[in-house]
Amino acid sequence: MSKIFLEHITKIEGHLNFTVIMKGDQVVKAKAEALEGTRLLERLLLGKNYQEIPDIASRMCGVCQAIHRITAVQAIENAFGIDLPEEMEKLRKLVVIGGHLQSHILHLFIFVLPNFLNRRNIFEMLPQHRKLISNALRLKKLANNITESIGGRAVHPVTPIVGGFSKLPSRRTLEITLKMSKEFKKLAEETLDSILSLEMPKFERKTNYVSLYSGEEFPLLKGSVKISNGELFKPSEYEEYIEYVTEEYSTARHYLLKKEKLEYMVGALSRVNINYDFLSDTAKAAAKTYGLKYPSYSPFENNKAQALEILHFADEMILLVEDLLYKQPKYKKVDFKVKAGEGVSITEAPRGLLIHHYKINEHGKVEEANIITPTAQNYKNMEADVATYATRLILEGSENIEFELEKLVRAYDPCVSCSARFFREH
Amino acid sequence: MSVKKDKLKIGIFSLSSCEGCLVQMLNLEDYLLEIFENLSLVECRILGVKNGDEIDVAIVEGAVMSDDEEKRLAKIRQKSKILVAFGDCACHGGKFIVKDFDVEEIDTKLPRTGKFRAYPLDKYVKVDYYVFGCPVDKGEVLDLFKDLLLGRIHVSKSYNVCAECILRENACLLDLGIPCLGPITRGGCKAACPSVGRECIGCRGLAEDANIESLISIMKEKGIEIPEYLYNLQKYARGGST
Repeated sequence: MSKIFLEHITKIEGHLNFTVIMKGDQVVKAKAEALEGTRLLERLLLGKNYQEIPDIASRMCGVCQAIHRITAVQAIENAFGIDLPEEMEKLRKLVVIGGHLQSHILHLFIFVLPNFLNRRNIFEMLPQHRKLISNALRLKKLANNITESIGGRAVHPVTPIVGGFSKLPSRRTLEITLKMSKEFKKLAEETLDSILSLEMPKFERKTNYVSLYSGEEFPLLKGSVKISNGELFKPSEYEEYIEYVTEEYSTARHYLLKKEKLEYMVGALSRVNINYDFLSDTAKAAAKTYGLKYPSYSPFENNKAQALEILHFADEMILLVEDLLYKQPKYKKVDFKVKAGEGVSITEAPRGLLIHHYKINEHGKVEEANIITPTAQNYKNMEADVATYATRLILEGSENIEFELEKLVRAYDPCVSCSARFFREH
Repeated sequence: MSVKKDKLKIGIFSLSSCEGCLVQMLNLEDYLLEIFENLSLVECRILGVKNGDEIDVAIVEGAVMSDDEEKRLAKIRQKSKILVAFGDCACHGGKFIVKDFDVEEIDTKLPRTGKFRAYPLDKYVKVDYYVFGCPVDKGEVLDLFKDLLLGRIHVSKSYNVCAECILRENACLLDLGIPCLGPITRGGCKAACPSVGRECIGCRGLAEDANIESLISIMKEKGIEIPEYLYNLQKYARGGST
């Protein structure tokens, strides 16, 4: 038995090793090994007052904290039976979209792009591509500013709370946000060519794609869950459709489709595969210009799906702010009663499907908590892709197997911190 | 710029955390390129940099949660002249967010990590500078880099969140019946949370002259329900250098 070992993969969020076990020229198994300390966040949520939950849940991840916060808030609101006015949901979408945009930009320009230009990192790109890097940083700053102006902070935003917001943005803030959104869109259109024109490795492996789906709009905070095999289920039914498996080699849980016992993929590629029709015109036009067709079965295309999403969310952001300027929320918080209940919220985080599930008692304290993150759901699919791709690279006599496999893992935009929360009491 | 001097060699390391503090460092978009052009970045996994082993300053984010991390930290300390604890996980073990001190060490069967624990860096090694907060404040990160570049000693703010909150002319949340920890929490965040109507939850640890008893009595006087975690703060979210 020999093995290919990818140690502390760089330019991803968190600590991850990958081991490919070989017998002769044959790949026996690929293992995704999360190394992050087990942060037991669900355990920490137990017994806490519902108001503290979003603050703690957002610490799950430093890159996609905005969506963790809002998903936790929505799950608790579902438990209490709270409905929010449309304007407030639009404000929340803005906080989340800012978060998605900064996350995608970080991944595409700072993590992914250097490899495709045969550089190890952005600093080695600087001599030839200074303008491109500055543009990407400007985009990142605009996206962060948008989250900050509505959410109070760019990393771990604080204003979205159960029942609404702790503070609403002023008209002036919304006007500035509109200006920033327009600048973002213009600059994104100029800058994304560098990603959309990249040639991705030719590698396809058809799998199951899972994404939120409403049949009305590109998914973000609401909808049912659609599996590419045609199945559709409500958020509250998730336990009937996906299940976890534990692997001794990883501090993260791994997930499978429950009935089929098969791996599946979540993230930008799954969203676009399932919801292509609901992308904005700008995003669709870009897909046409660059000859992108969906469904796509190449995990590398997750990169370009993210690029299309940047264009889509830029459009959506402008529409949202324009709507809000026309009709602002009248009050910052709706009235509600704390009661015993159970709530599930499923949203689309930058890296895919995110599930928060809480059981709350009559005093408003959390009795049970379950959080399923996108990267944890992707591990099994990543392992299958790595095993298949490694087999092919060996067959082709590739000299850069480790480098190419890292590229594949990186295309998933894994977020290991989020996923490493394995907890088993005994 | 005629003086030719070797650039300061910096390593950026990450233990167990959400990496939000590294994200916050990368959020210094306007200064990022300039900072890293004036320094020599020797190691940083998230940016894909690995250029040798010799470092002057190690910036370490995250808490120590496994034997492996304890060993990595010891090695980092050994090869660096200055070690910076970067963010609440590194400064306090992420204790403020844990707030539930029964889970100090849970005896669970965990793959790789063994027993559950989350400790600050200074339980194991000497820490020279602290950058507090969950996440760290961008302005303070910039200050850290300025100090490092100029060879100055980096000093943390000693005053509380109220000092900055008053400057922003915010209404006092305690007066509104909201359990705000601003009076006992170390400042430097420009009162980010109270400024948007959210109580301070103490993410930066205790201010140097924090008087918890006095805050508890003020809260009682105002009829505010005292959060359970407040009583534990003295023991865990201490000032840093003690």
